[in-house]
Amino acid sequence: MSEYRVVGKSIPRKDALEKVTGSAIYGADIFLPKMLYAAVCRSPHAHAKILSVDIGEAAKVPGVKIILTGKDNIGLFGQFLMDQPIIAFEKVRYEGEPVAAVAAEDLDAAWEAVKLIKVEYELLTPVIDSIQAMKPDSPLLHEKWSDYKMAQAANPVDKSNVCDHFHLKKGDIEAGFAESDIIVENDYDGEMVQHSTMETHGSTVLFDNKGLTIWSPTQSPFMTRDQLAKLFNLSLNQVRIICTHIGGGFGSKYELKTEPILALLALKLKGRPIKMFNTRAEEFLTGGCRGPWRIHAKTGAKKDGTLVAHQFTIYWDTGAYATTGPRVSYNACFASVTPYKIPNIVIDGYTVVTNKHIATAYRGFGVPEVVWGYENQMDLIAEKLNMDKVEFRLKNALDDDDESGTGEILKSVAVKDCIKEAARLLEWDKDFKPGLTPEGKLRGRGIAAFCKLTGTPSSTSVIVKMNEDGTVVVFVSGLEMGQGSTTVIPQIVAEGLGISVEKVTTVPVDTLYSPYDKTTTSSRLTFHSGNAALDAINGIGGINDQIRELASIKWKMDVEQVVIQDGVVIGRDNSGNEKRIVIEDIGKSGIMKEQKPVIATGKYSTSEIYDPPDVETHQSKRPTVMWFWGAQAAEVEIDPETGKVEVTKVTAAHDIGKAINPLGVLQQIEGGVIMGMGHALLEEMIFDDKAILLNGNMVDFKLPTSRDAKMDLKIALVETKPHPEGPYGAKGIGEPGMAPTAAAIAFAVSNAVGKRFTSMPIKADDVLLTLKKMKSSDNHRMGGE
Amino acid sequence: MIEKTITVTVNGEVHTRTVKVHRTLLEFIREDLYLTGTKEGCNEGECGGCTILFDGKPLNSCMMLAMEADGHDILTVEGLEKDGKLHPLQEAFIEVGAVQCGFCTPGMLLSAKACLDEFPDASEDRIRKEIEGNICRCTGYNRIVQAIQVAAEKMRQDTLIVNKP
Amino acid sequence: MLNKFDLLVPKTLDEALQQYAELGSKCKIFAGGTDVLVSMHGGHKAYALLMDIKNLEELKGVEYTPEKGIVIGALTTHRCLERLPAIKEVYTALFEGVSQVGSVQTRNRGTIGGNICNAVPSGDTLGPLLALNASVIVQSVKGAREIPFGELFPGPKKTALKEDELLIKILIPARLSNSASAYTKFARRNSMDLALLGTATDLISNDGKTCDNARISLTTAAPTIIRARKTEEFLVGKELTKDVMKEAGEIASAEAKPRSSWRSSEEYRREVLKAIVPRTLAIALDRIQKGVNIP
Repeated sequence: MSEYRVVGKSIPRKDALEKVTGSAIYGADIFLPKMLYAAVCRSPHAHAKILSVDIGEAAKVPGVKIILTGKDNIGLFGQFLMDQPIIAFEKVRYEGEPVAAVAAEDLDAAWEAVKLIKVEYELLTPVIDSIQAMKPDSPLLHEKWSDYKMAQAANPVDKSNVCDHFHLKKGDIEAGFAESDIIVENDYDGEMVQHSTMETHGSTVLFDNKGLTIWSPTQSPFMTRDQLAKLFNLSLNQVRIICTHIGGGFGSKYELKTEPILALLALKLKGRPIKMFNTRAEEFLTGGCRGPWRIHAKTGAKKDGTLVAHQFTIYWDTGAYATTGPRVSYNACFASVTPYKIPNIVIDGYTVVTNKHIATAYRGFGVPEVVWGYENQMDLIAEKLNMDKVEFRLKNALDDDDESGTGEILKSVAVKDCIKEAARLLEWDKDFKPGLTPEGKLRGRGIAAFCKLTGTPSSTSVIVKMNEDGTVVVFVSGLEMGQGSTTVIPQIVAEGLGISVEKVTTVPVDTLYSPYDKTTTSSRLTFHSGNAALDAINGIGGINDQIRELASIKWKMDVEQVVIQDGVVIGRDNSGNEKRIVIEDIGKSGIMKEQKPVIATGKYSTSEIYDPPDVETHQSKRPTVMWFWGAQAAEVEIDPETGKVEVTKVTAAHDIGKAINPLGVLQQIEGGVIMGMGHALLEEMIFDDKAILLNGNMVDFKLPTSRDAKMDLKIALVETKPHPEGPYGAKGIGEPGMAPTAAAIAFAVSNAVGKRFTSMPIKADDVLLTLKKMKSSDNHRMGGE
Repeated sequence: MIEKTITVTVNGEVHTRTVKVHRTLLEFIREDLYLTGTKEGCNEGECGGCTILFDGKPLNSCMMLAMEADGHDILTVEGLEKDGKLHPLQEAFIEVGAVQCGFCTPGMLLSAKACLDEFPDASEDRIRKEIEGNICRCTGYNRIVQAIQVAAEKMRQDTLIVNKP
Repeated sequence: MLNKFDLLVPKTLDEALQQYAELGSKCKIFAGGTDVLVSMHGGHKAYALLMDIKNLEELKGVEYTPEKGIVIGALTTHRCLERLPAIKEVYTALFEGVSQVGSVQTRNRGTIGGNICNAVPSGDTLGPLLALNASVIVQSVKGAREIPFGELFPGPKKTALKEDELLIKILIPARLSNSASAYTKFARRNSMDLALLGTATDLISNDGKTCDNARISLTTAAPTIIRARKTEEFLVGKELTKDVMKEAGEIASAEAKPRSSWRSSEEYRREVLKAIVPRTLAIALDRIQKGVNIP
């Protein structure tokens, strides 16, 4: 059916061979001559003044080369607000914040020195959550936001812990509530979770006459380069980021982590590469996380189920420094307008600093959290109106040419198809009785839909180079971190050139020679880099034009007489003689011999299509180049005596536009669903009342194991709405696979128990104690809604 | 004793080295032998990233001292490929799509090999039980389990061929 | 990364006991290392001296006879026990304990002696051993002695071993006909987790209905593992109907002393006990009825 040869085919991943043989080089696999090792002395307190740092004893440890403290700090960094010191000075703002850093000949010496560093602290009252942080009398983490340089747009509220306030407004919310027949109002919240990539953060840094060279498993080599250049006052050609394989990212390797502190050490130890990777305990403290969040939601609808008003206030606890918090809020607040038609909307997002560990991007930039909030509201309205939850959602779901909550006339919207598919795969229409089964389990089911935008504007560029034998290498600066980009981009290029995918490989990313790309985040890589690659092939002066030119030289024709059709170079001279080269065999044609190299660049930028949102209302005709849509449904069985939840079935339907590599798409969704299941039921970072983490290890932080992940998982790739601007119609899928999972599972649990759970995660304890409470009060029957 | 000279067979090659007693087997494998396929995920025996086969048994090499390997036989991921031919498990992991970021893959492959060596007809539940100590954050495990089943089938077929009179 | 330490590797039991008599608590015993090395990684503990006892033949091996019971060397790994038919078929509660310790990798290293000496209330082998009426042989230069399991844990993370004593072997009595055992571990995850709660039952029922005797242990339900003695007393002589077993769960829940901590609340732990004690009894009874647990 497909008109494509390579695109749309499931092919095994190109990176798999080196990964199954152990030859793939990850961050910690870098070993260099004369390499030193670093270790960091970290604050055991969440909020304290640093009175003194004594490195006397530590400096005597044999093998120690240098110890740096807050005094050696050279500046502040941060993606939005430049509020973060490389090494804390004056005060520490979270447990684990660096107070001193050691470089030594070996790791034993570095750690021995760390243990001998004596730091005197004066404890300050820690701000433990966003509720406390928002109070007028709360201690302030940062005295004055306006003292900091602003790196990108953020909207801090001075003399408060709010580092960004986002406001979106559409229609007239008060009028909307006034015309509502029913209004539901509720609070939702969730605990901190961590990406918990299998590879911890770390890097190896060398400073020499050429400048800084950094080997790092980073998702954002160019952002890392730019920020370090600024911080250390270097030009861009003096900062080289060499990307290794990434042992899992999910957003956590999007920002600077160990690079600045190692660079600071390296500056003082010219010519000696310095390496440091977090221990798992350090990783829990400093590896980034998804911060705790709270939502207050108020939603109104007509009796017939038409949604008319939706108000959403979100408090993001982003930890001690702003980092990417404002961007998480921005993306998630846009997504909070829901995948439904609602004429009157107000969204407020407050990004709040606390003395917790630093939050960052986490697979979906806040979207799974807001989906939990607004989809709970949808469930409640459907219940109140006695409407089927699928029917209610379909009635309100957005479609092509509808105006979204952000004021955009939408195109390419398959959310209805996704809701229908997820419901069909779960056999939603079959008779289903929630509550007690004959086997004594409580069962329930739920469904959730979502929307998410990709960060816009952004730009990316690609270089495509054809070798003399007709093989092709692609310099694509998006990172392979397990999502399959080193396979998908070659598929797009092979399709574009009309050659087999075996002939195309990507080049490891190195900012010295790789072309610019914003970041590997926001599910943007296939779409953006794919488009840039096609531009390099088909654009003016692109690979195809260059091939035509070379053929014309060889055939002694005018270049206009040479065309490329379906992977064949065809030349017709004036006398009607025809010559042909199949591009697959171009290496044998000799046309490249002693000619200019066949190298083309391509770019894709979304600045042109982007309509900057109105500052007051955040309404925009085009806030994003691409919306992701999808729905998932879940069935659970609960042990009513222990409260333990088993997810028996999940169905997922995602608007993928066009799956370039369906196998890769399935992998993304499968992994996303299990991660979402972990968030729904198992994972949370637990703190004491001084904001000290209690469960920072891989037994007490409950990542799903192979025996927790067994479920019947059915996936539909919805390809009814190819993206008109996407490469071959493709949309992104990295984050969407997880976006509605936790919500769908939570609703199934609520459905089974007969009471709505509003806090994430829903632990067995909560379920059982809820059941107990319900049993003891006569007002409720056990199970079922 | 604070150091010891040990002789260890790793992937069929004999290595003799003097190691400090506090050197872990994982550090020895990665930093002395530069077999970096074996990964450090947690260094606390909780993730399985550093799984090796020690006399055929899967163990977390972070939880062992290097000197304990004296006189023993170790298989790391680098030793799975034989004579330029991938192990059926490696092939199946590629074909089925059991690899994403790949960081857990080396340890996972070795747990899977130990599983099939001991239980050639392992059921899905048995496979899930035998790889319970290998955390994967990317795949959700389903394709890993499938790949192990595919490899098991392939290995059974191969055994039939070898055993034919 | 481990801190620097010195290592003793005695070749014989005599040598080990001699050294241990001299060094006592200055020296940390190192067997499978699954607890000791975890505590050393990341610098939680910094032992200066370890004694690797893996060469001691007297601490190895398993001997089973239906008449005398089973003798398990302290160095026997969990995985070795998990794969022994005698454990799976006869001492089933212990099978259910050892097969749920950590992961395969942990079980291939971790020893039953180590699990006992670590003495945490959540130890997966402890509850089954207590229910199965095990005892341990400990030895020092002064000689050997037997300690019944019930007297082995005077307090949390403490054993009744003296400073110079090594755990040598574990004895579990022969099984009676018409008896069966079972262990239930309740944890948040299905693998790689600590028991949030656990219970082991060793049940005797000659007619396959009535409880003639029951030994019930509770894991993570008090500062140490405990016997649920009131529950046991309640059950003796009663027909094991659903209601009786349910009541046993309530008694066990009431006599337990679980703590509230960040891992879970006391209230929840008591509720779970009400569920898992009857279930474990029912499993043991079912095994007696099916005759599957007979030596």
